[in-house]
Amino acid sequence: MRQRTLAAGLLSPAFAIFAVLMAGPLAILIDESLKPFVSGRIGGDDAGGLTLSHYGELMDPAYALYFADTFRLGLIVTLVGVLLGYPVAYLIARQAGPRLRSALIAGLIGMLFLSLIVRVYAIMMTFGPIGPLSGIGGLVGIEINSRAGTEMMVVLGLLHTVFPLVALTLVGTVQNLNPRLEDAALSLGAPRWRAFLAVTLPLSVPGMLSAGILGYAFCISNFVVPLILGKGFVLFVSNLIYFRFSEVNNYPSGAAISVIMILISMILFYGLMRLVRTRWQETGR
Amino acid sequence: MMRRYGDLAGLMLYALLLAIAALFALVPIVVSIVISFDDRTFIGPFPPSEFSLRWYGEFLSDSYYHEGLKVSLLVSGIATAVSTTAGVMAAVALDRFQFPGRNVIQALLVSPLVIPTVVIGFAMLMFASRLGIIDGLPRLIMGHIIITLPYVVRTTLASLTGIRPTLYEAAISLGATPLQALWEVVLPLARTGIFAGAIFAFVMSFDEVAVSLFLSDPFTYTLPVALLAQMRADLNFTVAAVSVIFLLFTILLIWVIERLVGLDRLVGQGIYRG
Amino acid sequence: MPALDLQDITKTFAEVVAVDRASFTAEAGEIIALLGPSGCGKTTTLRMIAGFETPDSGQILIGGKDVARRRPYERNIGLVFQDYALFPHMTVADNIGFGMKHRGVARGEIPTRTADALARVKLSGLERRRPSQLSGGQQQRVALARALVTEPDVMLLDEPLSNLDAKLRHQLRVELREILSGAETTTIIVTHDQEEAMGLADRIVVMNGGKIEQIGTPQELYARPQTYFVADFLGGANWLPGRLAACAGGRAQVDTSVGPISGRATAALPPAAPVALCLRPERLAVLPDRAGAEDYETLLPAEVELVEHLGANLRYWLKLTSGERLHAEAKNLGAPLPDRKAPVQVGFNAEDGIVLALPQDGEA
Repeated sequence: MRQRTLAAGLLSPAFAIFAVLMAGPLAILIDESLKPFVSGRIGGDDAGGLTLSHYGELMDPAYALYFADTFRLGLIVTLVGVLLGYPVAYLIARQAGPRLRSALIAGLIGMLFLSLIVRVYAIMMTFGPIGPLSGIGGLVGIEINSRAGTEMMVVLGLLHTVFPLVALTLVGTVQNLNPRLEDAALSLGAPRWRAFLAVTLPLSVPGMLSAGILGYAFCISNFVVPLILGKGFVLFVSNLIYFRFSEVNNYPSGAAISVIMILISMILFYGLMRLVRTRWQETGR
Repeated sequence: MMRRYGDLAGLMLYALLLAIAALFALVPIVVSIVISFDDRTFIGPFPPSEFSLRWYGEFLSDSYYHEGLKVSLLVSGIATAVSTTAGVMAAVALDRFQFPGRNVIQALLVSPLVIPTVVIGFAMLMFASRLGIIDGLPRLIMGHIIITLPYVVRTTLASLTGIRPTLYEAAISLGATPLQALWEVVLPLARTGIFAGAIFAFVMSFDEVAVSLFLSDPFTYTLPVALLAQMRADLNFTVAAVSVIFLLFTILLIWVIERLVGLDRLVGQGIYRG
Repeated sequence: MPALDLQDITKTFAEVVAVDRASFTAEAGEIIALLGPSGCGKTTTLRMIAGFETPDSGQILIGGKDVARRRPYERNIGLVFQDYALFPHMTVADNIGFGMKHRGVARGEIPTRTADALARVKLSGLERRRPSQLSGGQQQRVALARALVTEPDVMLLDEPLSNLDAKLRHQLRVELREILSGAETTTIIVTHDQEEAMGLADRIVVMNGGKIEQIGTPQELYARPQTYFVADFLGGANWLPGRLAACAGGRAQVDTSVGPISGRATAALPPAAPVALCLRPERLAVLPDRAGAEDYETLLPAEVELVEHLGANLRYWLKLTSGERLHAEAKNLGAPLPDRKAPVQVGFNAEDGIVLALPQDGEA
């Protein structure tokens, strides 16, 4: 079939890139993770056999802290992100006139494009000890220089990163909800807030879950925010991988942790997302 | 009467959340901008009392940053060019043709997005070492190609799906071969989507820290890596100045996209509007 | 040799038989309509002629040659899509020139032939416009010109008028017929609108559920439908079901709920079969009193339920003594209208009724 050869031809560069630059490194990663570690040596020991010890040692409670911090803080960020993102999305999708809409979307995309370094620095300057909003922690009883304070900074940093992504995704969700449904509820006698809670919000749930899963995935894989704002107290799994590599030269262990992170990400994206999509039959998309 | 209060409470909550979101998004940006003009050489409380452009001067005169900027532009530029070419071709094939495994291939090409960038950086480093590639520049380019490819494929595909299949069929019925039909009819119509994808890819690549951190070497490093090192070493306001420059650049970019593509089109109108 | 010859074409998608052993021919210059409800297979058939789908079995011959091997760009066809598919990023001239360019027409010839094509569809001078600047009717004509200018062996039109509003549709239908006849190209039109088919086509192929029900001129199909489906689909129909009592020499007698009625038989009917009598609304005379009753062989007493005054026409909704309902149509000639519940007589002759077998599996 001539079509097939044309299709194959068009696909080949991208596929070649994928094979060489993705499949290759991943294979090496898995291979490395199974090698025993010889301290002082860079990279795993080729001579020794394969071992699962690097995976095994991740069961150790010392590591659990890293994973726990990562997942816990990621969850907080995601929840707050969706909470703040939804009203913005609703504003853009349902209420803003064309100019405001353009401006808001431009703003969100701008936030998305904003360099991570800039972001982290800005958060540090604003909410940190010398910043104008450093009192924020005080509002909820958190001491800036405590561990909780550091965690708060990390959360804020991640939130700033993930917020535009979540908001823009939610814009898509809200846009695909039929506005007539809320109108119908109003015409049947429900006040606005009731109509919203009974009609719009439940229908938004699949979209909110999708946006949340997306945001969560980005949170837990984030590297720079915990590195800088964590000040060494709060570290994510991604930082752990880096330290394994740069400070201890324990490549196999770093590789093992990486493989675990890949699996978790895949479960989030392919597993949970699909679950949300099929279980809730999203309207439109 | 209960209804009215309910509505009012709801409205106030809505407004409050919006205000918090707005504040949260904007205040850090504003603070950065103000600090970049802070004349003090020590870290003092906000707001600064004296203003100057010294940090901009520092940035513009420091070759450390220049080197980083040069490398960033080169790496992101080349990576985006390669990804866009390969990605557009792949997206066209995925959109127009039916063949077994189509969905799998599509998922594979987009999959790097799913993998944490730290992992990509680390894995790529080991891969490059095995291949004997120890120079920073090719390593960086390799890493950035694989992280930009999914963006291009995704946005181009989204753009292509919006093109009516009858246009391609019309071209074919008029005597054009599939390749001619794609080149003369389909691709020109997908132009804006492709462009948006390329810009998106470039920005994401330019911003990328984790991958670059692993793949840089002492002589070849990207600008974000340079800034990161600076931030960890000694906190001065040069970073703030750079931040503002980045910010301006971002605004410019958004403006360009708006003119050429229309931001509304990127997000779409949804199925109930327009 | 026919210009287009379909022999026993079959196409199945997944479990569904979209086209089931369809065969028909088209002579050079003929306009054929493929008519049927959505899902009947007409569009699939068109796409197979164009080459976008391949038949599972059967042959397609264009100009006597088997085109099975040929891709759409290798067949000399002209296609007009339902949404016109004009290339939005090209001018009208470039759109029209596209086919010529790819079929190897000399560069120098293209502008003259483009101007010629635009003149034929009465759109001269619009070469520089973009499709977005044209009205629906203009777009349709450009699409037509684009397909015609390459002098195809077969023109294929997919629901050419369905995207236009009613008034424009009638006007364009006439123009379309003129343009197509003037071009003398063999044309296949796909439509679900029976009025469109009857107005445009020399012959109509009626399709239902993948099968061809009947092929004929509009008159033949209307006056002598051979199946229930064809009679019901083309034009209005009243149905009086019953059992076949007798059938001989083109005449049949049906035992209905209001007694035995005679009608025409257009196809062979099995004895004592369940049948129905098809009565066209315009053939039923509504008689308010006995006046004129002697003109008609059959008179059925009925009650007027509703009279719709539709301007030029009147539509009567009538209920027979058995409870069956009929609707009749007459020209509005200014006579006084009967009241609701008024008793009337419905009169008609044997040749006004067509006796057809009722379809078996509840397709009625």
